[in-house]
Amino acid sequence: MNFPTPSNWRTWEPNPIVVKELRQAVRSWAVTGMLMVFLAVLFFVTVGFLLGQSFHISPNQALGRDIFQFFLPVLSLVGFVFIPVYVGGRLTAERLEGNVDMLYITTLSAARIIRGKLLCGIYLTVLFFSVCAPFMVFTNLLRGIDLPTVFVLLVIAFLLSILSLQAAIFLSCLPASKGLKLLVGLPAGGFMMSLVGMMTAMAHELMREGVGSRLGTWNFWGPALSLLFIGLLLFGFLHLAAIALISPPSANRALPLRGYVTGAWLLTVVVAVIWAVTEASPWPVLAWSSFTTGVLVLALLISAAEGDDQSVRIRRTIPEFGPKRGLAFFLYSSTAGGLAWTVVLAAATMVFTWLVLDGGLFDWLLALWRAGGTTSGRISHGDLDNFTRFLSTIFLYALAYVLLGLFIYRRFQPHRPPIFAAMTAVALPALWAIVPNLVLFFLNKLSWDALQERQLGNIFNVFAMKDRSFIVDHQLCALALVTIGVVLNLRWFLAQRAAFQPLRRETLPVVPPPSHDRAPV
Amino acid sequence: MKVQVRGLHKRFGKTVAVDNFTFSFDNGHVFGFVGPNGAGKTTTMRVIATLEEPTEGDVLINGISVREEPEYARRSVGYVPDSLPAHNDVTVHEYLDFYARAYGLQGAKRREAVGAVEEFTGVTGILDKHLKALSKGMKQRVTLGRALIHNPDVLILDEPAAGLDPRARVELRELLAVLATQNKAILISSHILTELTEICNGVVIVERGKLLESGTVADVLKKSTPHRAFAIRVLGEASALVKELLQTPHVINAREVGGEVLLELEGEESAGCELLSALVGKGFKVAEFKQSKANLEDIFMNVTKGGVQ
Repeated sequence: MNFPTPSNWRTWEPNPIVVKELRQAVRSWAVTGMLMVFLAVLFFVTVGFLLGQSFHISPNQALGRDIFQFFLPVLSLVGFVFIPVYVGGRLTAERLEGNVDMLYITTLSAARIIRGKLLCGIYLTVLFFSVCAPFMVFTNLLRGIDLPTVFVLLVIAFLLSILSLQAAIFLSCLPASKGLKLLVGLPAGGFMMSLVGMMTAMAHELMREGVGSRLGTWNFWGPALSLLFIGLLLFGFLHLAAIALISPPSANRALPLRGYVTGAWLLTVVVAVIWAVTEASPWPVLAWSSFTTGVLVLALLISAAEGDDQSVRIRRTIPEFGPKRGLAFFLYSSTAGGLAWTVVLAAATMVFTWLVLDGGLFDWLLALWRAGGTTSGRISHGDLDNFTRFLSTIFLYALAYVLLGLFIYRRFQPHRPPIFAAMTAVALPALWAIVPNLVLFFLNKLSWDALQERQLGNIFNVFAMKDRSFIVDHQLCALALVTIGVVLNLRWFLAQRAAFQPLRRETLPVVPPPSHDRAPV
Repeated sequence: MKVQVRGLHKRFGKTVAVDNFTFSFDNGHVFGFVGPNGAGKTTTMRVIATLEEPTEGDVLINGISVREEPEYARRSVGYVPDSLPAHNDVTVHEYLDFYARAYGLQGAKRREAVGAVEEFTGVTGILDKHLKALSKGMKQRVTLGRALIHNPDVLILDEPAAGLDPRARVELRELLAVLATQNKAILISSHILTELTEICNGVVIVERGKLLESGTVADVLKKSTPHRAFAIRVLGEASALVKELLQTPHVINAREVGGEVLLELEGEESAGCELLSALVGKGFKVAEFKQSKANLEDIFMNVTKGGVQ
């Protein structure tokens, strides 16, 4: 197969998935029906507004804005909900019907399959947007809205549509039953619907202030670029995660994701620091470290579900060279490597957060930024005091429960799939949080105050402590649990580390085929 | 050597679906893969088609390991699963065209391949029909076409005749017969053993995840039924013949069933001739003397124990 390069442009071929999906979409009543309804709504709303206006004596100076405010939610609904649900639904159905199996045995890669689904969704989005765009531009002629505002809002709506689409593709790739997918999909659908509301509110705000006058200022580009950056990072993650989810289990599924998250970690550190220094506020770093900790807790669970068995495909790519192999251990698919990678990133996050908040790094950078001007001194006021301690406690608890889950899985249920370890790691803190409170309930002693009391070992209690000094006890408890977890898993971890070796060929018996008889027909 | 299955194991949790399968088949071979439900046939076929990774062991296709390089191995494999295509809003031509694209065929080469497969599988009259609207037999033809679109050396067919009417079965058998003459290595599973007998020259018999027999039909036949079976009809008293036969050397067993005498005989093919001439020499009026040919069904019944998992 020829890969598209400028020199062979004559033989370029579109992604097969795009061709098939678009053919299906053209014939689908869902798409053509929605397009007709969409057009009809746009047309009748425009006519309705114009007719309504004709009954007024004084002309409405903001008629264009009024119509636009009606168009945008309709377009958002299609872009954020309908197209993602359509594309995601098709993929889910194909996976459930086993049709995807047939794709896996072609020479199409998982990446091309996901890219094809995404591109098809983008084409459909462009189709709906191109239908809507003339109506939206027309609103400019009716006054009340400037063209830059129309353009900017369309771009924002388009980008959010693509993000929703990628999220839907990711959800449909989850290895879950129809019911479970519906369970996950419903809140996701709710979130997408709420995005329509947010988009409408943002549009109202932008139209009120006018985008045209702010296009040349940092007040516009600062938040816009920040949101674009966050959106791109999220999009990239969802895209790679979807590819990993449909890749065969024998593939090195963790490598691109861990590589991406590590890269994103480094990039977001820099962005958070620059943002914090330019705003002279530590909040961007706080937000970054909170979000990163959340992602790493999730990464712990995913690592636990990966399992120990490394396929021949992975093992034959393990580097021979020691340091390279050491690095590969952290990035390649396996539970042990995943845990090590997560712990290293978490430690780096904690150290960096501590340096910024308590270690004076932020003051130093701020002083550097202001070229020797006065600084605000060490940041140690109120809310920030226990921040690093709080984050590290959450992570340590999560690590401890994952280690305990892994031990229980290996010791008592080794025949079950590895996801059992992750499920145990979720069930343990949930049980520990629920059972004592259930006992209190039956003793008639359950109260809000009781929930806020010190409940060591309860990860949720960290979020609802009455007394902040409890955090020290929680941290010590989490450390103790982690120590137990490490002791229980140390031998296994060392064995995994030692087993992380390049493939040594086995000799298998060669069986000659029977004598070369032709078919008797 | 096209396909070598070497020490193949596949476990799903505690269940051992495939336990140490070792067999191979070559160009021009049509191998029947027989066994009761749950014997490990589909799992083995999915491993060969690179859809499952073996727990242990390996499958080499033209020397390429399905464990190490599935992306290369699958280029040589066409797989027809036991479930038929269920795409919505896709016509037969679009379906085949899509898979041709998916296998990386481009431009004129793709159009040629799609045209050839459409002609070979006899679906030219239904190219614009939607897949969902096709009969099972037609869907099976389209699926076979999909598996052939990249002209693979190895064809894996999982229960291709299941649910087909007699005509569709005959047509499918004819298609497979043509494919066998095209030097392809074919592994086909089916519960309809009489059909396999007509097209297979090799057989793999499995039960409860264990491989019981594999090899050419003649070899397996020899192994599973070491004695030759004959049926004799004589004019006159059959009981005298039974008495005589039981005293004849190399005759293992003889009994009268419905006017015929059934016997099992040790030795080579010539032993039958010698017996016949001896009987005629002793004055028996032999009206019929025929050797009963064992088929796959007999082999299967002899070899398996009827267990499922």
